[in-house]
Amino acid sequence: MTTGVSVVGAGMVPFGKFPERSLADLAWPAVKQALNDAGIDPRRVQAAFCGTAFGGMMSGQRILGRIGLTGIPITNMENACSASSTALHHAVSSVRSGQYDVVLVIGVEKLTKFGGGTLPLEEEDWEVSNGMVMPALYAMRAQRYMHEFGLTDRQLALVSVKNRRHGLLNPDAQMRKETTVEEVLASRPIAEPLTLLQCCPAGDGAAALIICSDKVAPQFRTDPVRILASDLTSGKYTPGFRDLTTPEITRRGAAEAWEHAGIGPDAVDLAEVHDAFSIAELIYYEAFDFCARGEAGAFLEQGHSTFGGKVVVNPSGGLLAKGHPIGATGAAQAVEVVRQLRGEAGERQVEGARIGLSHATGGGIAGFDHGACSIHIYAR
Amino acid sequence: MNPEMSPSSEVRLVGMHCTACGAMAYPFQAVCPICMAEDEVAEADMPTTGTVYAYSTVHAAPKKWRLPYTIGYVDLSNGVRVFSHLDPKGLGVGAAVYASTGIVSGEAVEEPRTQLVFKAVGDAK
Ligand SMILES: [Zn+2]
Repeated sequence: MTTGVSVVGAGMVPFGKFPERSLADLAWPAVKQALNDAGIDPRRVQAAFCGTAFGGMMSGQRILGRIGLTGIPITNMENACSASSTALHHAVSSVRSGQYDVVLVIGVEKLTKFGGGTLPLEEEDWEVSNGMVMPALYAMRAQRYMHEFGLTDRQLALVSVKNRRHGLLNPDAQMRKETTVEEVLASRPIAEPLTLLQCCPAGDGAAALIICSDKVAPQFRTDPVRILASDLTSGKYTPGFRDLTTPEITRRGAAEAWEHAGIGPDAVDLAEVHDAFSIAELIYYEAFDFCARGEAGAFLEQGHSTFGGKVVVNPSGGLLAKGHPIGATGAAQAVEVVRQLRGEAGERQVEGARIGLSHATGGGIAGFDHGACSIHIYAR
Repeated sequence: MNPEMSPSSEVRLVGMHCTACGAMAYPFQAVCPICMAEDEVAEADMPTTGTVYAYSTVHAAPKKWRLPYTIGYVDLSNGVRVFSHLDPKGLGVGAAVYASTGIVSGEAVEEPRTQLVFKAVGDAK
């Protein structure tokens, strides 16, 4: 027998650069905020799942030690950019199966400890040891997509312009300054054709969620956000051809998520998707069937993915503007969806939002489209 | 991984061939990633020519790399995809390339390291 699962608490610290703060001190305020948001006695939390990629050993214990929430099972999870969405998935599964009634999800990352530059990838990987960096992987997707579908430089840059405009309205966003297509294209090249303003900024951040069974949810809030689907998958290793213009892993994950949720792309009011680089968001419009193959550039240009459009993509500003402390991203996307579905998103509120989606995918390793992908669908 | 140099100085790409399912991969791996066979897997020479699927010139990377450098995916004539450095001269999506070598990393300044580099056909030295 399985039970319904809801989010009753959401919290995050504004993303930014906080080199002086420890990982634990970065994250515990987000946990406290989530607990307060749920109006829950911390003693009710039965287990915690902490997602981080570079946090180091016992990140969850270090964080929860700060607030005395210990002596419960704490599981630390690494899955690159999908770390805390993976933690959320396992938290949801543990509640759905009846193992727990109340669990905590944490996502945390401190990237300033690396002092800037591209993300340090695993040197044991064959491509990484031969010079692969994340911007180059996405740059190749962009180049190939432009080659096949005639996407222009300006359409590509427009993703950054839109998400910066959204981020301007989000007090938790790292980049709160508008930009223009000209500025984006004139910023310095990182991996051609991608320029600096088409790459997510490096930063620090944390987010937390209180997940519980539908049975106990009314004890905490009258407006729980129901989780309709929680999907996790990995890429399929292949030594041969892979189509870089469409993400097989996300397409497959999306199909599973639609089936679990019993709804389709037309029902989604807002989507927080993994726009680590400008091209990514465009490819995900198509992977989620928000638009047809090859039409993402026009979909964006015509305003279908911003406020007032068919589906508001990355109302938070996305990874490009809100920031991408990688292990924190999945949980932070969920926080945004919860706030939107409760009508608490202030200036960036998606009017009448009833269905939201979050999508975190990542892991640049040889032979995989991506290492991991986790998709969640929520309803109020 | 460095490409092996044959006595005639031609580049060899030693990959995997699985006689159970016919799959090929580069670099070599001990278990077939397609059918999971182990005993039927052997080293095999890959073709050294192919076409460029996509590439990028990189301007930001870990310190050991000399910037900028160009990397990309080359689809060999047997269907195997190789991630490699590329010589930017005459390059384009779909360009015909052949396997060669070059010095591409910053480390090479201290300890010259020859590495696989694909070059556009017609741009041979
Ligand atoms: Zn095989």
